[in-house]
Amino acid sequence: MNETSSSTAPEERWVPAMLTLARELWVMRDRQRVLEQLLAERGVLPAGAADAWQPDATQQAAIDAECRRFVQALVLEMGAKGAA
Amino acid sequence: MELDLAQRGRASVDFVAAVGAATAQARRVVDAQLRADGVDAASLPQSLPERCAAFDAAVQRTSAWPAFAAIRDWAGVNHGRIAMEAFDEVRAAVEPRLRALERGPTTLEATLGDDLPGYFRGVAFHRTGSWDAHDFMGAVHGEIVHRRLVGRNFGGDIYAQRRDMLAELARPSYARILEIGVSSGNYTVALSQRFPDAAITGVDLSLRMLEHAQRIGNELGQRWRLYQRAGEATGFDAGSFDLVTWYSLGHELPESAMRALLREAWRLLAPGGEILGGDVIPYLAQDPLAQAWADHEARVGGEPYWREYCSLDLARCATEAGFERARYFQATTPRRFPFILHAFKGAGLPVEVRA
Repeated sequence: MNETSSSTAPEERWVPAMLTLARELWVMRDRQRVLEQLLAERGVLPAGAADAWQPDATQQAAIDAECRRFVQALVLEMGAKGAA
Repeated sequence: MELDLAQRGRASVDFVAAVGAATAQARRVVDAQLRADGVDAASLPQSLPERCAAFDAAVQRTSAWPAFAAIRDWAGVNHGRIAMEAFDEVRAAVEPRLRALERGPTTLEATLGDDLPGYFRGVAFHRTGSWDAHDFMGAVHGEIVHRRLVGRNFGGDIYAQRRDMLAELARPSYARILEIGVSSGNYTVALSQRFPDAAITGVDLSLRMLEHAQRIGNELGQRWRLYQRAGEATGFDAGSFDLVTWYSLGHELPESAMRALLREAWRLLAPGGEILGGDVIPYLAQDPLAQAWADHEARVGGEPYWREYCSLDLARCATEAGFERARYFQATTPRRFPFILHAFKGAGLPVEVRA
């Protein structure tokens, strides 16, 4: 019998999904760390370059716009659809 | 003050800001669904408790409410935590500079210790913990939450409203100014810019916020005198100030403290002195639906005294405290914020002569 049938409580379905997503996120974080380390070891970027980088006003505006689109798409799927 | 964040903290703050924008969008969807359901200012009950109960029931019938409530709660709970984490990420780099700025011409006297009013001690304002929830809470709140997060919605100049409010004052200069509720010192900066020759004294209950105000004052070379004291019991001599002022303070106080603050301000002012205070829009200036929204969001958003404050007519309270020619009005600047109280102790100048 399938233990994750539709009769299970919502949190019992969401928790495995979130952990699966979190594992993939962690794998990406680990890979990013590896890449930054390799870039530093090969002298391509100084250590800590990603942390030290600060966006200028134009770059920050672009980041804000992209982040808003990203979050808005997520929120719409959560159920906040409709004419505002 | 410039406080650069590292990548994780910077991107996390950007994300919280985007969630805030999405929350506003989701709220507009809830509003549209309320209108479609026939819920508007005219349909809600007159008494505030009944109106709020009817509003709470109505919004929960809209399909957009669960998403709105979930993301608003997430931002409410996490924005302070994320700001503290962002600070801690760069702490080793910025702490020496912040510590160095605690020395300079701006002084800070902290004597209250744990002798804090009950309405302040242990209250988790804004769902981020108390005003003293982090040992650099002033920098966390002032430089990250306020300037980077909230300020994003103010076109890069979140402090313009503070400067604009000062245009309501009657005189071109004031020799002795008391600011109540200094917080991280951003209104104090506006006072110094507008009245560069004034002796500025400031009080606040939060030592962590005062410490950051002191850093701001020292960074600017100001000679502010800061004290950890309650605005309703400052201990200063009667008649020792020409202007007593505050910005975004009243809604953090219960009604009894707000009324006591007005009485204390009257005592502290010399004859002809003025009070000027700016804060959120009171219920007397909002339609019933806007009141219900504001009241609901305050109840779930860590604003324990919002309803008490917003239910007051501060012009009447100021008059009862002894002030004359009290005006309580909405700013006429483009954002129509804040709502302003202005009044005189005795023989003040006519409003028409203000500079």
